[in-house]
Amino acid sequence: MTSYLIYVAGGALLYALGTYGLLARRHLIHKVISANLMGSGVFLILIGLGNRAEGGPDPVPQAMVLTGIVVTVALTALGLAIIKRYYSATGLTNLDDEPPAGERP
Amino acid sequence: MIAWVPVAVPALVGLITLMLGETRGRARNAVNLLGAIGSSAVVVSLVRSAYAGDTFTSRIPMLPGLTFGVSTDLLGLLFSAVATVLWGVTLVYAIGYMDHARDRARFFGFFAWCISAANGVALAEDPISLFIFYEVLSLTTYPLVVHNGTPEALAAGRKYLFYALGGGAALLVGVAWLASIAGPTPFTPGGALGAVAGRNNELRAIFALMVAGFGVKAALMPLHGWLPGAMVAPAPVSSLLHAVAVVKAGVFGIIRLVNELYGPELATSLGVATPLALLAAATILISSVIALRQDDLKRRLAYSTIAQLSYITLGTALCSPLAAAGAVAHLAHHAVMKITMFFTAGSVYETLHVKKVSQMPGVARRMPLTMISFAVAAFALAGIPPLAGFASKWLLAAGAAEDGSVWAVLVYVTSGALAIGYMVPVLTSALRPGKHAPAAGPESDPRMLWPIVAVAVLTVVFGLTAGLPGSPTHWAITAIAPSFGGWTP
Amino acid sequence: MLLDHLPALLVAVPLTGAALSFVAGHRRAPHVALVTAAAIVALAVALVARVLDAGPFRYAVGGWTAPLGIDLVADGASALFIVLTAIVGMGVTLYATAYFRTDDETAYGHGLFWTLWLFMWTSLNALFLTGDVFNVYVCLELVGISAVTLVTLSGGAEALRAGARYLYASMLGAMTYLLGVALLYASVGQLDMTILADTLTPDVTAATGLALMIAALVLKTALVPAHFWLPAAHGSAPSPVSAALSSLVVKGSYFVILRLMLYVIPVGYLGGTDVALGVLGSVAIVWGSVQALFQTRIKQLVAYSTVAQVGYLFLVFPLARLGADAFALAVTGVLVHAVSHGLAKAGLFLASGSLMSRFGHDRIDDMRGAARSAPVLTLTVALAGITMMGLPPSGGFGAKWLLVSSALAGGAWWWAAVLVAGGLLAAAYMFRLLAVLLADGDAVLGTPASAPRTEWVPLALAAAAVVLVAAVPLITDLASASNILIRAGVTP
Repeated sequence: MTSYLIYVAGGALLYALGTYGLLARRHLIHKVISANLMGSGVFLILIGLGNRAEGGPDPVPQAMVLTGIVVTVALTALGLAIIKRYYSATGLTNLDDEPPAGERP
Repeated sequence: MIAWVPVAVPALVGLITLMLGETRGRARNAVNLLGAIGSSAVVVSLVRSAYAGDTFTSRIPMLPGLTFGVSTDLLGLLFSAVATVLWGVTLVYAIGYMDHARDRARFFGFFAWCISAANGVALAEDPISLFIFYEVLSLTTYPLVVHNGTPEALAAGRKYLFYALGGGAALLVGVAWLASIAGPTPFTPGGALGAVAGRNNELRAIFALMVAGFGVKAALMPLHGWLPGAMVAPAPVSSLLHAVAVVKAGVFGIIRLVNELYGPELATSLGVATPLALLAAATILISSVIALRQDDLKRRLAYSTIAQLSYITLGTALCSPLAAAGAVAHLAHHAVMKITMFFTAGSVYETLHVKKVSQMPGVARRMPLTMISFAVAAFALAGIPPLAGFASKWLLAAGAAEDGSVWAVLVYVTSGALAIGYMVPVLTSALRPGKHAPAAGPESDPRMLWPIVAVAVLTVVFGLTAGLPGSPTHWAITAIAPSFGGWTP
Repeated sequence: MLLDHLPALLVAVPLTGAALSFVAGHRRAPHVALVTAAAIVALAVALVARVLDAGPFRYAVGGWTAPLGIDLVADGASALFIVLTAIVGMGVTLYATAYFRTDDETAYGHGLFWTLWLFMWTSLNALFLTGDVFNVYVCLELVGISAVTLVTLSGGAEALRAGARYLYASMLGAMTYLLGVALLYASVGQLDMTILADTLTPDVTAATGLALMIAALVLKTALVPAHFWLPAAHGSAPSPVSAALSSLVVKGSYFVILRLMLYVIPVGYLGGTDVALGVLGSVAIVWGSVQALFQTRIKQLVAYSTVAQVGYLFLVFPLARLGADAFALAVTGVLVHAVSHGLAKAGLFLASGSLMSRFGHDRIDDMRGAARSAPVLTLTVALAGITMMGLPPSGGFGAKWLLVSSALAGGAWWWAAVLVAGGLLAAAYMFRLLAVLLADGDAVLGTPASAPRTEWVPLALAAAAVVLVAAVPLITDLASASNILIRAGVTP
C-alpha cells in the first residue's frame, strides 16, 4: 500500500519541479533537462500505480513507460540538436533575447 | 434547368473573360456581347412563358434540409430582364469607355459575375438562395469599386465592404433565424409565413434584420454612406451597378420581403410596414435636399439615386396594390433613366474631362445628342408626362392616396419638385455658352454615344407604352396582383 | 482481401514511402513522394467509400484485439480527416517539387524534406485512426518531432528559434498528456476509447486525468491562451511546411479533443469544461483576428488567422450540449469547418509562399499591384478569404450556417453572434491583404508567363474549399457514420 504511494508522491514532485523548470528557466539546455524531469516523474507515477494491482505488477504501465522513454530520448536528442544549431547561428542560449537583425525566413 | 440560364451564362462569360487574359481584347468583347445577347434572348422567352402562366423552378440540395433554387416568376424576371438587357447596352458603352484602360480582363470578368449575381437575386426562390446571391453580389462588386487602385478607390472600397458585409451579416442572422423557426419558406405572393403567424415578436425582429440587410444596398438612410463614395469607380460601373444591379438588388429584396415573404397583410398587422415607410420618406426628402447642393455631377446623381430608391421602398411599404405595382414599375423605369444620366456623366468626363456642374457651360453645344438624352432622362425623373417616370410615380402617388396616406402623396410631390430643382441646374449650366466649341467630327466615341441614345429612347418608349401588355408598368401590375389576392386596377 | 487492411495500409504506405525517399537520394525523392501521395489519395478515397458503405469498423493490429492489443478505429470522422490530409498532402507534395528544387547539396536540410514530410503524414494518419489514448500520445509525439524538424528546415536563426519554442510547447504538452493517461489508467485500468466510454464512472482521479489530457491537447491545438508558439512556428517554416502545419497538424490534436469530449466523456463529467472551451474559442476568434489585422508580414497574418480559425473548432462543445438537433448540426458544422479551413489555409499559405518568392520579401504593404502580374495568386487569396469569412458560396459558409443553425436550434443566440462577428473580423484582415494586392502598382518581379506551374496548386486547394459547399451532403453522411453521432443516437 504505502510503497506505491512513495513512488506516486515522488513522481508528482519531480513532475512539478520539471514543469517549473521548463517554464521558468531561460537557458535552453536547462529547459530540456526540466522536460526530462517531468518525464521521469510521470514514469515513476506509472510504475508506482502498476504495482498497486492485485496478483502481481500490471505489465501495461511498464510497457507505457518503455515507450515513453524512447519518445523522450528522441525529443531530447532533437532538442539538443536544435539548441546547438541555434547557438552556432546566433551565439544565444535563450529565446528571450532577440537574434541579430537582418535574418528573415 | 432553363431557369439557371440567366445566372449561368454571365457567370460563364466572366470565367472565360478572366481566363482569356488581358491581351485578347477582341475575343473578350465577342464573348461578352454574345453572352449578353444570348441571355437577353433567353430572358425574353422566359418572360413570354411567364406571361402565359408557365414558370420554371429548379433547385439543388445544399445543406441538410436546405435547397438552393431559382424560379422564373414575373416579378423576378422584371429585375432579371432589366439587368440582362442593360448589361448588353452597358457592354458597348464600356468597351468604348475602357478603350485605353488597364486591367480590362479583371473589369469585364467581374462585371459579368455581378450580372450573374444580380440575376440570381432576381430569380432566387427563397430567402436563403436570395441571401447567397446577395453576398456574391457584394463580393463581386468590390474589385470593380477599387478598380482604379488609387488610395481614394481603396478607401471607397473599404467603406463599401464595411456596409455591405455588415448588412450581409444582419441578413444572415435574419434568414437563419427564420429558417430555424419556419423551415423552408419559398417566396409566395401574399406571404409565406402562415405556419408561424403567431410568433409576432420574433417575426418583427427578423423583419428588422432583413430590412437592415437589404437596406444597405437599397441605400436606406442611415445605411447609405457607401454609395456616394463608391462613385469613384469607372463610369460603366457606376452606371450599371450603382444605378441598376447592386442598388436594385436591395430594393428588390425589400419588395420580395414585404410582398412575398411576409405578405402585405402580415406586414401591416405586425406594424412593421409603417416604420419602414417613414424611414423611406425621410430618406427621399433628406437626400433630395443634399443632391441640390452637390457640384460633382456623379455625386449629385448618387444622392438622386438614394432618393429614387426610397420611392420604391416607400411604395412597397405602403402595402397598397397600386403603390406596390408603381414601386415595381419604378424599379425598371429608374434603371433606364438613371443609367442614361450616368452614361452621360461618364461620357462628358471621358470626352471633355468635366466632372462638376459648374464646369459644364458649353457642353450642350459640344455634345448635343448626349445632353438631349440627359434632358429626356432628367425630365422623366422629375415625373414629366408622358415619359417613363411619370407612369410609375402616378401609380405610386395614386396608391398612397387610395391608401389614405396623404403624407406620402405630399412626399412624392415635394420630392418631384426637388428633383426638378437638382436636375434643371445641370441642364441650364450645360446650355450656357462656355469654352467648349462645337466639334467638327463626332461628338464622342460612337460606342459611348449610341448606348446613351438607346437608353434615352427606352425612357420615352416605356412612358408612351405604359398601358400596353409587356411594358414595365403593365408587367409590374400583373406581377404584383397575386400578392393582393388577384386584385386588378 | 487487401482492402480489409485499409487502416493498416494508410499507415504502412506513407511509412514505406518515407523510408524509400531517404534511400532514394534527393533527385529521386520527389518522385517517390508523388507516387506515395497518389497511393494515399486512392487509399483514403477507398476508406471513405467503405465507411459510407458499411459504417465504422475496428481493425485489430496483428490480430490482437483490445484491451490486450491496440485497435485502429475507422469511422466517418476519421475517414474525413484522412481524406482531407490526403488532398492537402497531395497539394503540398506537388507544390514542394518546385519549392525545394535546389542542387546546392550544402544547403541545410537539403533533401530531408521528403522523408520528414512523409513521416509526418504517417503519424497523422495513425493519429486519426487510433482508438487508444496511449497510442494517441505516441502518434502526437511522432507528429511533433517531424513537425519541429520541418519548421527548422531552413536553418535560419528565426526558424530555429521558432522551432525551439514549438519543441518546448510540444514537450510540455506531451508530459502533461502522459500524466493524464497515467491517472486515467490508475482509475479505470483501460486505454481503449470505446471501452473507456462504456466504463467511465464518476471518479476524481479519472476526471483529473482527462482534464490534464484535454489541457495538453489544447496546448497542441494552439487555442488561446496557449497559442504563443504557433505564429512564429507557422510563420517562419518553409511555405509547404506552414501549409501542412496550419491545415493538418493542429487538426490532429483537435481530432483527439473532439473524440474525448463528445465520445468518451459523458455530459457534465468535467463540469463546465465544454462552455469554458467555447468561451476560449470565442476569445481566440476575436484575439487572433485582431492580431492578424495588425501584422505587417504576410505569413504572420496567415498564421494569426489560424489562431482565429482554430477558435471556431471549439464552439462545437457548448453547442453540442443544447439538445439532439443542436448536437448533430454542431458536429456536422465543425467537421465542414475543419475541412474547409484545412483546404483554404493550405492554399493561402502556399500562395503566400509564391508571393514571397515573386517579390523577394514578405512585407504586405510593398506588394501593391500583385493582381496584375500574379492574378492566379490573387484569386487564390480571394477564394481562400471568402471561405474563411464564411461567405457564400463556400465551404466556410456551409460550416457557419450549420453552426449558426445549431445555436439557434438550441436557443443560444450568443454563440450565433460570435460566429457572425468572427466572419466580419475575418473579412477585415483578409480584405486588408486583398486591397493591397488590388492596388495600383508595378513592383512585381516576373510575369504570369514566367511563373512556375505549381502556382496553380494553391488555387486548386482554395477553389476546392469554395466548392466544398456542394460536398456538404457527403460530409453530412460521413458525420452520420461517425462514432460520435452514432453513440449519441442522432442524425443531422
